[in-house]
Amino acid sequence: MASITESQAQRGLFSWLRRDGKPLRPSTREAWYGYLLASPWIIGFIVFTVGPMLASLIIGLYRTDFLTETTFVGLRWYQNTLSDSLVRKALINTAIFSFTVVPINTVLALLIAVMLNQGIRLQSFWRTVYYLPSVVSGVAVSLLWKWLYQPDIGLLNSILGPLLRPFDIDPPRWIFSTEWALPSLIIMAFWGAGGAMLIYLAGLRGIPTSLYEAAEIDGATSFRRFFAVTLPLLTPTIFFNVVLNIIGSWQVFTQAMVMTRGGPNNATLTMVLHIYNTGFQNFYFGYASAQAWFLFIIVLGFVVLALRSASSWVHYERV
Amino acid sequence: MQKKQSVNRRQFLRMGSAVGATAFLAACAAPAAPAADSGGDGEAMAETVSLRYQSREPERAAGIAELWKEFYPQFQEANPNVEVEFLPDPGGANRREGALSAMVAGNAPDLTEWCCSSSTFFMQKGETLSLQPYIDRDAEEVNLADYYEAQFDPWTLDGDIHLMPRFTGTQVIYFNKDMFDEKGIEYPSQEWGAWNWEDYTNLLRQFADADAQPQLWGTSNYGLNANWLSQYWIRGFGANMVNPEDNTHCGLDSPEAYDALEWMRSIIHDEPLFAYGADIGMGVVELFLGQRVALMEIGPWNLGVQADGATFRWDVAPMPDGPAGPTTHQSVDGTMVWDGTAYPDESWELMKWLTSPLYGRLYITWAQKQPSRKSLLPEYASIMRAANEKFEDINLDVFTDSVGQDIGGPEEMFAEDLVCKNQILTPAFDQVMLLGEKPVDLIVDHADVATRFNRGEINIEDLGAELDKLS
Repeated sequence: MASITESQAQRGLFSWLRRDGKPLRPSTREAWYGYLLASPWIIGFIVFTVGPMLASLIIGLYRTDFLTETTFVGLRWYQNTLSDSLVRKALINTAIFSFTVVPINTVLALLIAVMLNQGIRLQSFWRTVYYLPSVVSGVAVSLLWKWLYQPDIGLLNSILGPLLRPFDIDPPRWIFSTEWALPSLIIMAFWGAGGAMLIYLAGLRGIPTSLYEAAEIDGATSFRRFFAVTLPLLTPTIFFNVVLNIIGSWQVFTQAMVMTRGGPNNATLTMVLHIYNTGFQNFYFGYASAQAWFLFIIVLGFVVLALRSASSWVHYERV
Repeated sequence: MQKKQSVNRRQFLRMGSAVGATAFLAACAAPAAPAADSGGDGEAMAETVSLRYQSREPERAAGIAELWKEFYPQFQEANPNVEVEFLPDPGGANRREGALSAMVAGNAPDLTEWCCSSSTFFMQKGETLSLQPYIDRDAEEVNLADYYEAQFDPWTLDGDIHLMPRFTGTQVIYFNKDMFDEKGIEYPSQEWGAWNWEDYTNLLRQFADADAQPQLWGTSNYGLNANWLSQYWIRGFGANMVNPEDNTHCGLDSPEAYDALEWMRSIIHDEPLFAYGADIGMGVVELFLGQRVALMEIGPWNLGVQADGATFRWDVAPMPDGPAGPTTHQSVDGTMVWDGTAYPDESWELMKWLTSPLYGRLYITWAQKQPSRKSLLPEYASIMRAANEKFEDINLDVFTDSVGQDIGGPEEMFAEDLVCKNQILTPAFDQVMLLGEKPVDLIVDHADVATRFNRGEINIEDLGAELDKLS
């Protein structure tokens, strides 16, 4: 194997890109190295994300189960998605879930983070406790909550039952009831606030103490300091968490799949679960693809809305 | 003096990047062409053929692995030119999706075992090899008369059989002897046809106590929903969920089906005697092991779990008759040969071995489950007892007697089975059986939608609107 000569090393790996063999400009060479080092992710993104997305766009033009038939149906699935009342039901369920979980989770995670940032005792322990649910697999969490929600022997009703029955009130039947099934999934989602909490904690640590000192000299109360210093400087972190939460909440699937399979009577049918059912239970892959694109556009719309609104409420510290 | 040159970090990174990129591109390149195909002609038969066999045995996966160790050397000795890769049960609820992907990719196992609606699904989708020519050729060896009458109903397409059974699980009644003794109640009869649904209802009344904390019921199963779990009761009342003569017609519109559904609804909600929703809350097995129900409806696949987990004396009894006579469910577990296999002859050879009396005996021993061949049924109880002494006092003949008498049938499948059961009928069963919010008429109305969907009168995207009209 030929050894690398000094001149080759100086010219760099990409010198072959120039016909005259002269070294590339440092900035160009830097860019090429950047692309090369990022290439595993770029290739993965193209092959495993962009490729399937484009494929699904085309599959959405066909009636196909991939086995017996592939019939071109044009835009039929795309046109009919909105008029499908089951899709609408799934959309409404998902929207209720998202519009409830995103704001409450944001506030809850922020509150926990602020509390844990007060220099309390056993801070690391509490941080771990709150973060722990976020590292447990969604399926395991769902199975645990399924047990907690069991109306007859579950932990929740074992506590609520003795408290409510003296007043002739039966405790909720949770996932066994059309009224309570979706709220049950929403309540369960708050358990995952620890993930956002950790990001808020990092954001809180990044706020310069000099600002608090200045505010304190000016006589600001702790309440005022929170709203005048903490909250504005935390808005980039809040924005990041809100965007992630919007995307995640519209993709809610595991809980509904594991705990209720969308029931009872479609009370917890979420959009991704419906797409999964259409594709992998009923084997209408074209229709499932069209529904997936529909969901993608909705999520994209909310994310764009969040991005557009960012300029009015997200404050970036100028360095 | 020659200048010594070492590779610095930057150069190493460059080389590493180049090698990594090359390796990635090489990995993305098309695989090398496979060796010449050995399937088909006589000359190739002498070459070694490799088959893949996907097992399905969620409850007894370890036992099946042991079974394979004992079975495979005997198969290979007789078939030295056939190598079989045994693929253990991967677990999880999404095997069908995985298999579908493998079939589309052209890489499915040569033989795959299925349970329930999946077996019929892949047959309807044309992924199963018709076994009829082989069965006709090897009729004596296969001996179809050795299986119960309705065994092949869900696996027959245009008169051709597409799957072969390995396991026939009979739904029976498990009962807690201690709870019966405590109340001084006589055990159920051990003979099929000796008691009926009214006796059953009266018996359940003696155990159920809605005011007890925690609540007690008489019985339960996985859930009386739009599947085999309600089908055996509907058959007992003289009707069918799927019309046997026309699989596009949902038979829940008959008066007999109505009576069956109404009886089911009443034992769940009017008294209540039947713990419904056990499958999404506390499982039926846990209810029985926890002594919250004195009886449960379940098959022989639960025997091992029951023997290991019970802290009380228990036994099994036949399902009660319906008004139309004896009824039960006989499970639909079978093995298919993938239509895309390169080695259909060798696959059939393996299939014959997998459905042979030899395999059946090993299956009882290692999986502790009920074999499909009638000729093995007399051996079932003794092999089971030899394998596990806890079965000494259990009347295992209850299971096999039903097969010997051709009682019951397998799961009934619609032409568009998955949509009909999951999307059309389940919401109705949820509202009537699980929630108790709607009368049985709702199921009958949904049955009409199922029939029209099966017949192509309703599009998939219009189903929701059709069902909304019924709410």
